Amino acid sequence: MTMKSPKLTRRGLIGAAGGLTVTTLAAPAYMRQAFAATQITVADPGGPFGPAFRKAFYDPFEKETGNKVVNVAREAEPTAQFKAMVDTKSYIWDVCTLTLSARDILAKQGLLEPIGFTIADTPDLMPEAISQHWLGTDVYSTVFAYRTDRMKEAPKTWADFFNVEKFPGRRSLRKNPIDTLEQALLADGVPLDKLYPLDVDRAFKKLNSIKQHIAVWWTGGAQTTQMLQSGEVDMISGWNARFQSAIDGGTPAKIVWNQGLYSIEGWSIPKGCPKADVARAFIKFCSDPARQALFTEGLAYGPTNLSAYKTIAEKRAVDLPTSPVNLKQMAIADENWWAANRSAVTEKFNSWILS
Amino acid sequence: MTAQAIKRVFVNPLWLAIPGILFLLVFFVYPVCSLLLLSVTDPDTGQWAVKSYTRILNTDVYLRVLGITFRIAAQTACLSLIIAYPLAYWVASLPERVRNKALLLIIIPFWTSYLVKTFAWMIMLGRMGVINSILIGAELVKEPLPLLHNEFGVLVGMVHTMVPLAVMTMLPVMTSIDRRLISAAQTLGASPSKAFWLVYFKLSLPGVTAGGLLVFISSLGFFIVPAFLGGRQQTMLAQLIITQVSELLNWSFAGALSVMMLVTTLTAVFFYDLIFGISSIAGKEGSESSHSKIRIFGLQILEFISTAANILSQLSRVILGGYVTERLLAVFAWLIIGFLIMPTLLVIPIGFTKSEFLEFPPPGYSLRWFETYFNSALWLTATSRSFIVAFLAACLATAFGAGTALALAKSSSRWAGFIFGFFLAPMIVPRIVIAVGMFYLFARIGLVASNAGLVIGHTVLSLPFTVVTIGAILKTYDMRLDQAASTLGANRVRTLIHITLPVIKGGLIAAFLFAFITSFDELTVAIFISGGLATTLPKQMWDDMILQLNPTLAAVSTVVLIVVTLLLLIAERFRKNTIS
Amino acid sequence: MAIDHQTSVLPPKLRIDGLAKRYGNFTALEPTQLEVHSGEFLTLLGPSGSGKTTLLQLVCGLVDASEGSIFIDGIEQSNVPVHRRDIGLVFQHYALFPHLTVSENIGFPLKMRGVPDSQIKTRVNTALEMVHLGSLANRFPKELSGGQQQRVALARCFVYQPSIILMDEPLGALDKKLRDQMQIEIKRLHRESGATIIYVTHDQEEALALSDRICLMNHARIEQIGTPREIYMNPCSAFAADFIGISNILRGSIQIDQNRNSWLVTSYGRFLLPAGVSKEMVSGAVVVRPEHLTFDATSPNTLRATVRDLVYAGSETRVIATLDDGQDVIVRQPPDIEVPGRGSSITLGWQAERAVVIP
Repeated sequence: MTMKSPKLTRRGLIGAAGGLTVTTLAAPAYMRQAFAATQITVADPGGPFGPAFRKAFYDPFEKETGNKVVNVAREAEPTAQFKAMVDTKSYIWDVCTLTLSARDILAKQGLLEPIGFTIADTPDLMPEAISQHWLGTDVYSTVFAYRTDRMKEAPKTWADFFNVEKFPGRRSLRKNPIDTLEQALLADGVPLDKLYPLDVDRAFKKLNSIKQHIAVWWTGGAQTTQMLQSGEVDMISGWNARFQSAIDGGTPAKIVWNQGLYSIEGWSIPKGCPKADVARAFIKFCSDPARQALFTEGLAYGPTNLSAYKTIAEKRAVDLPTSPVNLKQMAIADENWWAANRSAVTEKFNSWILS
Repeated sequence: MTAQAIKRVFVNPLWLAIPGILFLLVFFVYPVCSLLLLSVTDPDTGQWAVKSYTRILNTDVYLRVLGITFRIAAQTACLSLIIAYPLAYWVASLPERVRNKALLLIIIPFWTSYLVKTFAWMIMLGRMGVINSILIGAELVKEPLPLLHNEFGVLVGMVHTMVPLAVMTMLPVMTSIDRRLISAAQTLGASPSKAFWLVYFKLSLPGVTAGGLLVFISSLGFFIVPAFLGGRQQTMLAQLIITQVSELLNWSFAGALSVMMLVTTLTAVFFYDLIFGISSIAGKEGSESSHSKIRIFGLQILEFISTAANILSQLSRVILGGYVTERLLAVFAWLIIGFLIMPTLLVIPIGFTKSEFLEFPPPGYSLRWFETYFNSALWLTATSRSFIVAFLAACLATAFGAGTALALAKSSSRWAGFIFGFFLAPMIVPRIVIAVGMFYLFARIGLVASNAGLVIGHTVLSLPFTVVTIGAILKTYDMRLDQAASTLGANRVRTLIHITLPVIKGGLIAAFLFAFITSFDELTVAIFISGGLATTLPKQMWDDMILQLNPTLAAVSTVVLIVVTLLLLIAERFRKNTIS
Repeated sequence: MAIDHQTSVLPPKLRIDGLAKRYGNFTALEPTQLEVHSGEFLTLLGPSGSGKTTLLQLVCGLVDASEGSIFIDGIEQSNVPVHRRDIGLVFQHYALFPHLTVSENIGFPLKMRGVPDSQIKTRVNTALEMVHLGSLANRFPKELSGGQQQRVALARCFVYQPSIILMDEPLGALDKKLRDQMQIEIKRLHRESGATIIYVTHDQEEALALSDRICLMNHARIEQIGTPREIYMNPCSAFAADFIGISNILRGSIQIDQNRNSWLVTSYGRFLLPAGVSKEMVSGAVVVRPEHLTFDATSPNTLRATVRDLVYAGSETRVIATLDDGQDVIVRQPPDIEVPGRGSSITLGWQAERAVVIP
């Protein structure tokens, strides 16, 4: 026990405040032990990611290097914590998952540590899945799904989704301009490869046509699973894995990959992190195709190292965004455009949706 | 300074408020001010700038959201009071032993995390939800009723969360009303309904105004309920502030939005005080003059209401008969209790489902989600941490709150009103602002991701509740008891321990429970401060909810419900034993 | 004759017939008969728990009777709700409405009766004058002293001239001097208003001072009803004798001599009883009031005792003497009479006709 540290520790402080509870307040034994070893704290998105990543990344890494990996869940958009963490040098995470947009915001502010390797070291990696400060681990895709028991005719495009006469039914879109504007433009006939820069006015014009027909504007990913599964709506935009878990659970629904927009999540290291070396080794470890193939068993997200498909069963591959058959129907969302325009467009969207 | 002057300063009861004031200065005022400073700082240059404010004024969207936020909060406050008042009245009229049991029924739904309750309402109100299924099954309606994703859904969710708060605020005032006054009014010729409105209702108004204010201000900060139960039009300001802070990273603009919210809220509170006199919450008798126009006007309104109520009650006697009319209140109270515990009851079977989803009725039953919970160190640690943090935060908040409320009740200083307002401030400042400000402070002194940080944060948030609750009960406390005790040889400390505290025990317990619940169910501060290894239960639930919504949540809620019910029953037994 | 005839058919102001109240196994009031006449001041006197407050609450309708009926002016009241019974109740703790001013409190019953505002004002002012509180009309109750609050409570009750006014220990919370003043005040109000008043108290002096008749209650039933004088002079039981005034009670067996005089045989001696003692009585007690005991050893009834204490009370001197077996007797003497000192042996005597025999 190192409780007798002369300086006033956090635990000591609580002990002084409430002597009776000091034993219950101290962290559980297994956690204290973990501090003693060389250990990195990894912030993953939580939920099903925890067990899937542990099996694919954390446990094998511990086995191979002897370093401990403690995983915690991070916020959907952990940028605020990240910034404060670096500004104040209180590193509660050594590695953290970031979306492309979060990566760009943080990289621009100089809050990220370089990961120390390039595409040259990992040739089979999708080129979008690596940058100086970040390694993409999984690809998620924004698509739409529909209830096969409710829709008489199967919608195949975003134009179908927006066509309320031909495809009657309750619809749901995200209460957020990201993805929603792209979807409107796709419905209006803009080709997938010519989306950016977005024609914002045209997008809102198209959205006007469907505004009254959107039964639910969803705000959280978990909501989309629940609404598809419960039959609250018949057609809904969202992330593929959310729909997949409803379908896996027996919901009569189908995902439309056509005109999907994918994006990538991956690891970054906060600037100035004292354990950056171990963190870099861990990130490099996660670029391995065999490791990535493992997490797809529990998660319907696509590996970024496309060699992973060599070991993924065909039946599972069709449910994953980066499988060849799905990937070719989709394009990557342009985070740069959003980084530059998000604030203004969000304001405009908020105003539009209220009126 | 003469000896007398020194004595006067030291004997001044306001000293009791000092610990609480210092605590708030360090852990509330300082963090919030440093954040608000950001609102007038250019994020790029670090210079003074007002461009965040010009941006607010350049578009109408933020003012409109502000309007929506106030409208929904006001509606929630009114509906909560209308529903909670008869319930509180009914509970207050029960014999004390039964009363505590009924109160338990009202408090227990409070222990279901509001995240889970929100999802329960989605299951109930949805197009294919429980209520619509029943209505369609009974062929009462053809098309499903639009109960969800609109203002109705938001109000159901918010009122459901707020009714227990309103009941618990009003109850101490109601139980302290001398029921003989009702008998007196009746012997003087007032019909039962007139006696109620002109005497009982009027005397219970301090509780009503306190409850209304608490509910209104708490409602201003909602973001989960409008996000999940609301529709296109129900965007509340807290949602926009969170987006600015956590997604767009524009702290300056978030600060500006917070200032806007703060200023309008304070303005609203000012007018509320002008009309209803919230200084009465502080334990002060309203200094209303007998000729005050507002007082006379208020009495005339009551006169009018009582006449109308009189006619109504006579009508109901004619139509429903005396027997039914006399039991209307109890029937209504039980209906409301049903409304309160329904989501909780729904959650329990879902916890035992074998399905992957939160669906009702469950297609089959199993213990798998309980296994998931009990096999997860993460969940178990989070659960025990939440209990410990909530207990400590509640102790601190009750201690600070009791000191402050006593100080305010005993002091005749003109500072009292100001100090009271100061202690309400953590309730008025949006939690997200407090949370982010605290995160900055705590990061610098190493309290992030620590239990101490959580306890401090939750104490700040709970303090207004404890001050108001204890203040309300002290308002009815007979200060002559203190004088009696001191003539009987008790010094100030002994008077406090042996007389004041036991007499206001009901208020202290209520305050403690308030604070405990506030901390136990707190998410905003937890999101920022708890992260990493020190995760609380709501944070863990929230994390789980973001990515994968599964019945583990229901299983966790069920376990928490059972544990808490047992704790409450033990506490009740303990309380009874100490009395006998 | 005609007038006599009419009064005899006029129903009493209040008639209680077989009225009883039980809570489960507990009897708060045994079946009770009582009549109160118009304009009468009747006091319900008794120790706490004797049923007097229950009786009061039954009359005003705050509590429902288990059995029996209440008639006011001959009209049965059981289906009349509290607020329609023409009854005023003055509470022990005043029960003034804290949120209303003095004049609003007094105006309350008038308002409830739909009296026009202009009339309310004059009647409230009259009531305020009646209790000498004109200057405090706009104060709140908490700003008044206890005595002032009680005056407001009285005014609030008298202002609407209810046909019966019930008072539940209204002076219980006041100090002695104030109580005496208020007694005079109440007496005056009664006289001026001509109201029928039923007054509850456990203070026998108050009862004696105020009442036309006293209804002595004990163990949930009426022990004795009568004018103060009747009860004082002719208590029907040891309880009545003891509760009202100070009594010296000596117990023993009753014998009748050849001259048909009744005697009480006790361990202190043989005492001649007043004429008219029932032949059936074989044992009983004699009640001698302290003012009827003298230091006259020539009386037919004498008692030896030792002076234990002397109490000088201004208008009289009380001698407390102890009998052989330790029982105390009390003697009241005018202040100008020389009394024996403490510890001296004395012989006390009384005239047989001054004593009362009780079972």
